[in-house]
Amino acid sequence: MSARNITAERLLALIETYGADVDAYPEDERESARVLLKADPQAFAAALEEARSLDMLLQAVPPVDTPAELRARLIDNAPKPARAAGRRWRLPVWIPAGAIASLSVGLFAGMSVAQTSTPAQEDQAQELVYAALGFDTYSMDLEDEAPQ
Amino acid sequence: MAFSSDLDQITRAAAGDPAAVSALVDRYSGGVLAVATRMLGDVSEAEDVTQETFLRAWKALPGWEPRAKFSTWLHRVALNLCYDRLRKRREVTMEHLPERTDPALNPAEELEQKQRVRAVEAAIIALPERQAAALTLCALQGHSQAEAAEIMEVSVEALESLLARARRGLRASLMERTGS
Repeated sequence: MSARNITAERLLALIETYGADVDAYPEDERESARVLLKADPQAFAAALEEARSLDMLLQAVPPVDTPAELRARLIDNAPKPARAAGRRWRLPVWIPAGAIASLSVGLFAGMSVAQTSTPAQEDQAQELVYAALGFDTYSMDLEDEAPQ
Repeated sequence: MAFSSDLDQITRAAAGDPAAVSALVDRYSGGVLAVATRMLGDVSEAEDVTQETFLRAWKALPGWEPRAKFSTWLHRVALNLCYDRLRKRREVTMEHLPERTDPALNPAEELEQKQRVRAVEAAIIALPERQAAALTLCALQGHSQAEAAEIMEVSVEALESLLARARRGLRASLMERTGS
């Protein structure tokens, strides 16, 4: 930003507008303001004094801090991550994949056994199933089914 | 208050990044609350305005286009909400107006400094609203002339005119209060 030369009248206006602190003036007018103030301090002394008393009162106004409770509310109202916002429960990918794999292995094993087993092995297997279900014996069932 | 840093945080906050949300709140809520407090003179109302300002900001984040600085946009929203509330206040009858800070209420209990501060705060609130806004943004919140003018949607020349009148009005009001 290039510096701008200002008149004494403009400097008085700046003092009235922004106060006694040259750093508060528009950036491009600060340098020229400093030169004028240094060249003729008495010309601006009264204006500076009046401005300084008001500056001190304004500087005494304490800053406003955001109370913790308000801060929490502001954050709570903010956007949430997409997954949390939807709250859709999804199973991890490995669970259905694992189930499908187990099912395939089971089916394959079952079919292999069925194709290679003999009638005697089938009877043994059925007997085991009956026993597991709580029936007395497989042979008893066969007797019950025998023609009278 | 870097522009690029704001943009990055806005993008992340829009996606729900809690750290970016907290950073934006921590960076700007104090300034917004301060402007609302100085304009309205009522802490509870100022907090409501701050909350409403940030609600609007959160809604605007997904489609945010950096035409203005985020801080400028936020302060402009807050200021307009304050103007709305001040307008509504003028519509209610005088007896329903919220009680304003009065340094004469408990002079014996107040420290001198505290009284002076209260007198200044009350004098700022008593200023015409645009003058109060200009003074708050520049003298109390430290915004540059260009930023304050952009927030208020006025030229820098108009801002300077508001500021000069605000300072004159403040001085006169304080002299009247102290009787000097």
